[in-house]
Amino acid sequence: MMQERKKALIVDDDEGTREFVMELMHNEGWDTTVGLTGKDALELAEQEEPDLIVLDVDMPEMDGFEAFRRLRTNVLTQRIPIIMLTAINDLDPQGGHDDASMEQRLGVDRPEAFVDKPVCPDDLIKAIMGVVG
Amino acid sequence: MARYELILSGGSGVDRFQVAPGGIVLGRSPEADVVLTGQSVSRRHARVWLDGDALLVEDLGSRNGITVNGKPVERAALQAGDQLGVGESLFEVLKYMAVAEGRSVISYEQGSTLCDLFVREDTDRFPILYRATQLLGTVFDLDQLLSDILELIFDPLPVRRGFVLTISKESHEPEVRATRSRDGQAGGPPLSRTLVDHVVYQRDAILTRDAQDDSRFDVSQSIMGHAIRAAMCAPLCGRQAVVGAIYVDSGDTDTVFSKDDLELLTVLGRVVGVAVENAQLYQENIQQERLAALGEAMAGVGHCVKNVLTSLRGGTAFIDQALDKADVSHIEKGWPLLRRALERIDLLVMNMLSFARNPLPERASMDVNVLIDEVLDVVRPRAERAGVSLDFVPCEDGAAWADERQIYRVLLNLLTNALDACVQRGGAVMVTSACDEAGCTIEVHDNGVGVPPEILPRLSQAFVSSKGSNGIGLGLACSYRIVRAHGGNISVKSVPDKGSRFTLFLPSDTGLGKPDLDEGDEMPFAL
Repeated sequence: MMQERKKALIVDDDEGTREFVMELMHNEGWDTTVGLTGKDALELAEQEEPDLIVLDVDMPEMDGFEAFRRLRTNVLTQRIPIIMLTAINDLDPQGGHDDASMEQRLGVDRPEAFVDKPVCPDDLIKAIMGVVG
Repeated sequence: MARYELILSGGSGVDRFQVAPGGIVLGRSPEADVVLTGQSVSRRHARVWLDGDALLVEDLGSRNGITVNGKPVERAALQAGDQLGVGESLFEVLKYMAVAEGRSVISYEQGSTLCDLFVREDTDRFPILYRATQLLGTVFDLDQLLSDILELIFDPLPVRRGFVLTISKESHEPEVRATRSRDGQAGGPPLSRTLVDHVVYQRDAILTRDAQDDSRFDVSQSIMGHAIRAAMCAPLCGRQAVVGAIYVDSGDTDTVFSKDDLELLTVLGRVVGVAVENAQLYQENIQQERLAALGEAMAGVGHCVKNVLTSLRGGTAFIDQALDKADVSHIEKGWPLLRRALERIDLLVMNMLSFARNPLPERASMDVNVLIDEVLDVVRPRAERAGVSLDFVPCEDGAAWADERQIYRVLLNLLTNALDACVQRGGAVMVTSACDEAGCTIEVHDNGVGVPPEILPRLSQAFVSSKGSNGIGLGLACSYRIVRAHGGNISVKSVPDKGSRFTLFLPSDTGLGKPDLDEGDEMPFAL
């Protein structure tokens, strides 16, 4: 029996990043759905039940941090692994990733992986492999 | 009766010689009243004496003569400030009142009470205070204000020179900010620094009728050099700190200031001090806002470039794979990413340069329809990828009078925005043109996400954007500037989740006016 293709939800308001991550994941044998805002992430996660969410931080309407917190408190989506795409100062203006500022933004839970922007293809592939095997 | 001194500055310091009523003799002889050294000095060289209030000098038949202000003389009357040359020695003539009535000091605390008193009880000086506060309300340039305040006190007070000093934020020293003199000549090292320092650091207002005899002050070069007799100085008191001083002196006359004058200066110092402090705080705020805006702009640019870099890296990775595996299909994946990154960085950099340089339009005859077609060709690949339809309804004759390169950029910005608004919505973008004698009107309609109402009124401002990572808010700011420089304008109608219509009007060379762009409220698409 043929193994079902895995499905990723890519949420980033930047078209270039979205297209790149999409192509990369197609290349790795994934199906993809894309969203542009945090709200899209919540809706599409419930609707599509993806195996992985690649989530940007800096987005209009609802940012990635809030989307993350909501995804993790919703029983329908809380088990979906999440890779966050972060610019260094998204987490802390001083560039530190200390516990206090992380907790303030993300809550007690943490994404399965962080990948720094600008996204390097190898980093993202490594993160995907680490999260879903 | 006036009193005079001859001041001799030399390498070892300053010597002061009082002119006795019977006169003094200057020369090399040990019997002389003022004993001088030097080859060119005769034994009995010159005599200086008083005749009433006048000071006279005569040559006593010396070998090398005497000079007054550089000119050889045999006999002459000396004025305050004159330079008397005897051999190698150069004396400065100082004149001051024989009777120094003493001095007056108003402490910081007394000054506060004085302000209340002035407003409540004083009828004579209140008008000046009133005029000063009027100036505060009407003159917004600080330098102008300080100059006007000085002018104000020249009227009631016998002032020869006046200065306003403010404490520099950089050096933390009082620096002259405004000057005024009755004869219109202000030059040289201007005022008694000792007096100013005392006022600024002790917060006292001081009147000295004779700076030379005042034991609080060293006889400094600045006092002697300017023959200052009576001087007043009051601190400029802000709400938080002393921000400077106001200083006046009477110069070479027998004029003295009264305690009343000092009170007036003290109260003015309070009023002006608050204004200076406010102006400084305002300046600091502006500076901070500028820095904040710059920081915001740089963060926006950095973010945008970072995203473009992601596309570049991604595209490059696919091309690398294509080369490694000799697989053309990877080029097909990578190439659009690279091309798109190139387009975005091009638009970003061109907008940044345009915003920074703000070049004037070089107008020439052109065809807007041809230009629109050109821009559409550039954005079409992206529209196709995003599933957005792109239509153009041209007018018959697209003749216009504009800077083709600049308007190209405007149209590229408007169309890029329209596509951004429609991406992921499978939307539609439509462009129309209409040209007549008055000028050309180009409309760009889209049925995209629309502009948030809170941003709509600020669209022409830089760094205002609702596009998140897709823009830094320079494209429209540049476009507005370009179109306004053409004498035209851009107007916007937008409804969130329905779409937007940007209307661009460029007047013709005959400049027959422009249509009312707010007419026609129908949205472009029936949605």
